Amino acid sequence: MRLVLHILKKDLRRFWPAALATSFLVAVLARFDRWRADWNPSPTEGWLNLIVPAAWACLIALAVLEEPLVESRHVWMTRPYRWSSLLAAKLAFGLLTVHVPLLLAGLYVLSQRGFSPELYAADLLSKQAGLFFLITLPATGLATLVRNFTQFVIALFAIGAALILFNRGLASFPSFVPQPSGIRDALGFCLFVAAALAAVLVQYAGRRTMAARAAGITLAGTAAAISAFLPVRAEYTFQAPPPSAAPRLVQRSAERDAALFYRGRWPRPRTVLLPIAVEILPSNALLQVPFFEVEIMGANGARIRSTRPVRGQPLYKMDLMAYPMSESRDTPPPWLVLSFSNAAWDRISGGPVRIIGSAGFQLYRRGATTVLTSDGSVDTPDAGRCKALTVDDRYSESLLKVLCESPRELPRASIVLRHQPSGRFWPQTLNSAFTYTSGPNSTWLSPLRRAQTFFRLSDVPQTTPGAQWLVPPDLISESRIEITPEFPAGLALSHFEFNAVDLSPWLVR
Amino acid sequence: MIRIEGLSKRFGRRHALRDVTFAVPEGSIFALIGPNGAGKTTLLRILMNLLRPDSGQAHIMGRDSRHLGHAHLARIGYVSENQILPEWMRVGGFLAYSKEFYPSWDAALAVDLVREYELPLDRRLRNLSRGMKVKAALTAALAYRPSLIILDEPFGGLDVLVREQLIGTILDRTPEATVLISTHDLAEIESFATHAAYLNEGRLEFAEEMAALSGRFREVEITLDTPAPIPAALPDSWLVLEHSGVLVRFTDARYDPILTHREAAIRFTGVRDISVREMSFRSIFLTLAKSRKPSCV
Repeated sequence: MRLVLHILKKDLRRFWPAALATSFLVAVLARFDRWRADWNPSPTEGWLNLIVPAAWACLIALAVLEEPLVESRHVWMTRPYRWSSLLAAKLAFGLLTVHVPLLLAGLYVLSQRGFSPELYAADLLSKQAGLFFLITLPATGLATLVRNFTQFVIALFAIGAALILFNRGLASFPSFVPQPSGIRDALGFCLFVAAALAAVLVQYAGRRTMAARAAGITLAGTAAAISAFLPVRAEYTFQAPPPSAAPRLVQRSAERDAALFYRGRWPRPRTVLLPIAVEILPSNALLQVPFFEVEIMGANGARIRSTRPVRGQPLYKMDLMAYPMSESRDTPPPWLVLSFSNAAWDRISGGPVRIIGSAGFQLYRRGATTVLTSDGSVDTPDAGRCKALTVDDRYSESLLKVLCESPRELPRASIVLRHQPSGRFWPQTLNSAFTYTSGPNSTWLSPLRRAQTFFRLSDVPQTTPGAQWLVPPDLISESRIEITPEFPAGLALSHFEFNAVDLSPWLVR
Repeated sequence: MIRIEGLSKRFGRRHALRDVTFAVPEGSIFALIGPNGAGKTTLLRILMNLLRPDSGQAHIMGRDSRHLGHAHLARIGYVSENQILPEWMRVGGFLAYSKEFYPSWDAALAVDLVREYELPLDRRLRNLSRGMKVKAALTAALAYRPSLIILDEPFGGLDVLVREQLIGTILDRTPEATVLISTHDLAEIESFATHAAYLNEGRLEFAEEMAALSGRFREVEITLDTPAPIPAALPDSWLVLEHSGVLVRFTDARYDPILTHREAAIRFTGVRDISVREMSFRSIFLTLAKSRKPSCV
């Protein structure tokens, strides 16, 4: 312990200006966070959420490289350091210069936003643990593998570039139907942590640089490969419910006119709406279909596989897009949309086709509903503190905004604005509406999770097409907002096969 | 104190050490000599566990060098010419920081060394001259009275006075320590080394006491009656043989008054005279460096 403190004091004496500078950045970030009443951060706050972790990583690396493990000419190599004391001193340095400032910032933000720091102390500490495994340990591990700080910075940039590449850029929209990623995230995280841990332990205990580099790169590469390439199917395989409880996708009979209601609304040249139904759905359950793929085999033997839209890929280059279409978020999808390019349609339209495919279901159960007035604030049992307020958008049009924030993970939630006297209601979900910002918009260092939605207020006559989504401002004062959290209740993968399907009657464009 | 057995190390295709075996007796002042690139630094770095050998073993104070623990390192003082010091530290801070790692730190000795070396305690290491840096490193390496002092060409580039001063303090202040010093400068160690080992291109040419070494190397000059050709077969121990008319001159690495004279009489006809001269350590080193007969000694 004496040696740990001795080394720590030396590092603090050496790097206190840098530690002070990063703590100042954390304070600025906390100040931004404390005033933010929106899901979206300002560009400055968004960038700070990237810059601060990078600054921490550099600070930790500087401390580790005070006693570099690769450079064998350094005087410390021949001094009687205990490796455990040295490692403990470096981790203690990270604790003091990274975790303590962020913990204090978290306490400040929580108290300023009206949350009891004592009540959420465990959440703040678990966030610190996550940060330790995502920044402190990996930065320490990386620093043990490089010869000097320049190499560390180059490696940091390379890793950052790879992460951006895997995540397809910095700016991102919230996904309306997010893919389940529990298995992918857990595997990637565990392997990433294992890579850092292996590098740290091998280097500090034995200074086997080549072995440490090999282990670190192999494990981190595997983590990246799993994050990038693990098939979505794996999520459903590992989290599948018992077959008796699994939903099933089947064909249903329907009047052609029902499909024709949607005629002409499609951007693609040839679009078919096929009537489907979901069977064996647990009562009171909600579902989404985040994963869907089909293969269509024409009478002439032609085969077409559906592809998923990817950012930057023009729609006209895709032969077939397939997805189930819901008419309401409370009911299972009644239609399967098959959207063809002209060329693909010509290949399979000569007769009845066979359709085989898989649908991945995400099941949800509803929690208790909490009611909020249109200008009030309420603590919900599961969706944190929700607040309604009227704001103007950038075009000076009025919006009723519902913002929920919590130190804990926010579940999906349905937000319904209901006007009791007239019986009218407007459904939304948390994070179903957003404002676009350029640059990074993750606020992962914040101790608060925030989610929001909007109701557009307008006096446009209700007969105007699309006006059913607009809320007359004079109804607001008598309206109530119902907030119902929806908790994930499992995943299921269903395989289906429809034989001798005639697509022509269901062609809506 | 140190035992080295069959030590080999390669860097890519280059052999830095080839099957090196020798021992450093306790209490000795052991000079490891050889030209630049001979493998001296590699050998010392293996001893300090800064490098791992490809094969063979090195034992320091009874411990395999690959498993040197902090308890062993606390008894070894190591100073190298290309050691990286924490240059941001002040001299006083550096010594104070080093002190905590050594239970046997002798504060009085440290003060004496600082005074003797005239070290400015309030100056940062990066602002010191090379000589002063070596003095600071040496102070930090001697103040805990190590049992073993390993010096890797520590005095390169220093003026004669500083060298003399540093050597003097090593010998005076730690008389009980075993010293292993590598150098390619013979003048530096001739006056105080008790043992020497000679490395050349990674091979150990010899390792023995200085007295025995200077006893067995002689410069031999044979005068013949008439000029004669040099015989094809000569003893391996005859190094750097030169021939001019009736004169034949060489260095005998295993000089024996009777055997050397008998060999000369067998190899040459008409030997008029044989004169033998003692050699300085410098001359021995130069002869060995010129010679390309590694197995002769």
